[in-house]
Amino acid sequence: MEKALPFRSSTKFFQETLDSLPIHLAILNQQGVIVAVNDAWRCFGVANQYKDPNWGIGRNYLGICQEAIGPQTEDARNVAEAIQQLLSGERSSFQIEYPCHSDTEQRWFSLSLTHFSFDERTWVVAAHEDISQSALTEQGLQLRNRAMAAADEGITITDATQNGNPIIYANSGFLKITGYELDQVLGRNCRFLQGPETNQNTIETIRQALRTKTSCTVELLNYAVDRRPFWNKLSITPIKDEGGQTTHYVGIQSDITEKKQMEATLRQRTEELEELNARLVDSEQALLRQNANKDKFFSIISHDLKSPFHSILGFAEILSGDLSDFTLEEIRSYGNHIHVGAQNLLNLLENLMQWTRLQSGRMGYQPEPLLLRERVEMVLSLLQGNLLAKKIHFDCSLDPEMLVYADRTHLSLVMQNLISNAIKFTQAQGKIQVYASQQDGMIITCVADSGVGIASQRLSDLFQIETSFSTVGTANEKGTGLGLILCNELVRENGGQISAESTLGEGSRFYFTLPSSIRALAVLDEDSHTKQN
Amino acid sequence: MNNFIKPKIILALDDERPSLDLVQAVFRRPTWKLICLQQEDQFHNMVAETQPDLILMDQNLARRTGIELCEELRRYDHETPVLFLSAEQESGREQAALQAGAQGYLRKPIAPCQLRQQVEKHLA
Repeated sequence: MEKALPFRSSTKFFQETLDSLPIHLAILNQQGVIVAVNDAWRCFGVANQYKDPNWGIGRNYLGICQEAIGPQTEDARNVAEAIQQLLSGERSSFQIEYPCHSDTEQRWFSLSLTHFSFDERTWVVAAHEDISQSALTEQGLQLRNRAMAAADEGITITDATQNGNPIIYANSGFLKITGYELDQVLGRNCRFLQGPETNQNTIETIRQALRTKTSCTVELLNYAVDRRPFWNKLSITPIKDEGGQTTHYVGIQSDITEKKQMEATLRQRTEELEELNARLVDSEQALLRQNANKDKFFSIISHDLKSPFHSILGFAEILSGDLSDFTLEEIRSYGNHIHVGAQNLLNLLENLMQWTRLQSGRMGYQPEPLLLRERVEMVLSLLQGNLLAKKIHFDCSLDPEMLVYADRTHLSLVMQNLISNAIKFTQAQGKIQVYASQQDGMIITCVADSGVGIASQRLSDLFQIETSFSTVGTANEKGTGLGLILCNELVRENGGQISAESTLGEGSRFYFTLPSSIRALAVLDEDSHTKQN
Repeated sequence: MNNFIKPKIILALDDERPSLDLVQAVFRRPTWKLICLQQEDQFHNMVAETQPDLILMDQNLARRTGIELCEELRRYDHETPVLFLSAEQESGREQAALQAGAQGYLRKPIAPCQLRQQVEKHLA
């Protein structure tokens, strides 16, 4: 066992001990005068350019505190009061942290005051510890905390070392977004934010990131405390310790509901605009085509109007001149040419007028039950002369009671055009038949001839303005194809369709459908009941 | 003395019979011999057979155009004058016909005397 050192030796021992401490120590007597300091105190004085190497010894620490001015005045006064309380025995210790910045650096110190009794007197020990490093660290931490608290985004930290990866920190942004209170979220796994429509594939993406301890960013549907759904843009990032092990995850959440809604609205508007644009493009192209077709059509019409005038005016001029060289037969022939030309012209003009009236909506549409055979016989009476001139046999085998539902004028024009075409393209002593059948509530009427026929590649062009073409009949009757275009439009106006079959050299069959009267009346009756209800 | 004037042969091609009949009426004097043709597929044979002094050509034929036939004619015949006689209004058609090798483009309806005048001008 070591013997106790003699007092003189002990003093040096304890002095050395105090000098080894990094804390700046000063001992005050009952009057508050500094009677002893350690090396750290002296070095601080030197470092801060206090010229006296025993800086402070003999100075009244209490007086210094009591006379302090500036920002630390209150702290200094508290220290002075504490020293007096320690000296009087009113308190046993005191501790304060205070800034003590130099011109070059920011410094913080911690002052601890304690007392002891020796030689029947009370002594105070003032210990100043440089806590600059920890103070700066603390300041940095506080700044980061304030920043996290102030962020609008939600910030959470979860503990990956605990079962269930619970939340250990959630900022006010997170609480604002979700509507939860802090005590409702701490200690829980984030899955409480999921709901019935949260996408499970997105959840799996998050789980995969957690399994592989990697980062991920997802957008998923979460639910607030009141079960209101919101779109959450979530980024999670692992936090690793010094050994590279993942200990925590930080999650950043943003409420992007409004952005999603705007995106959806934008997508919808874009789709609508694209659809509208496509329709506009289609309309524009259709209009351009129509214009081009009408230009072509009117080019054909103007040609076909001028042609008859060529023979009419030409023969008229010849007949108005010197006829002494002409035979009676020639004169009669020229007169006939004028007559036929004028007739062709009239037919063409009539068709043109009908077509123009139809296009401008002035033709009207008043459907009614009509006896089909009666309409055919009416048309036949107008074309009897043409039939007789070519000695064409006409056979109409329609049921006298067969009814169609159509506009009277429209049906008459269709029959007139089809039958006059049949006469035009049938040779002398040929045959024309008109017959009909009923199917699925529609009457299918056929006008068949034994005439020249139509090339198969032209059949599809017959009823379209884009592909109309002029033709010449077996007796040089002129046709522009306008009659068939008119038939197509009139039949469609009445709810039917028109088509043709033909064999070159053998004849043609033109079919058109119209609603039967019984079906039409049934539909009308149904519509009437629907309106009443 | 035998005064014999060889008639000028005019070949008229048109798919409309009334037009051909009119041309026939216009050129009925013995100084002309008119050959009327309605089927364009017989055109080149008829040119070879009749060796016409002038061709009157319609533009809008049943299956082909007068311009196409004129271009084909000019591959083997650079001499025989071709006059178009057409009711077609389309702009540029006259220029196209002249480029195809025609000597003139007459528009229907045309007065018989004017038609005669133009034909005689190109036969001279």
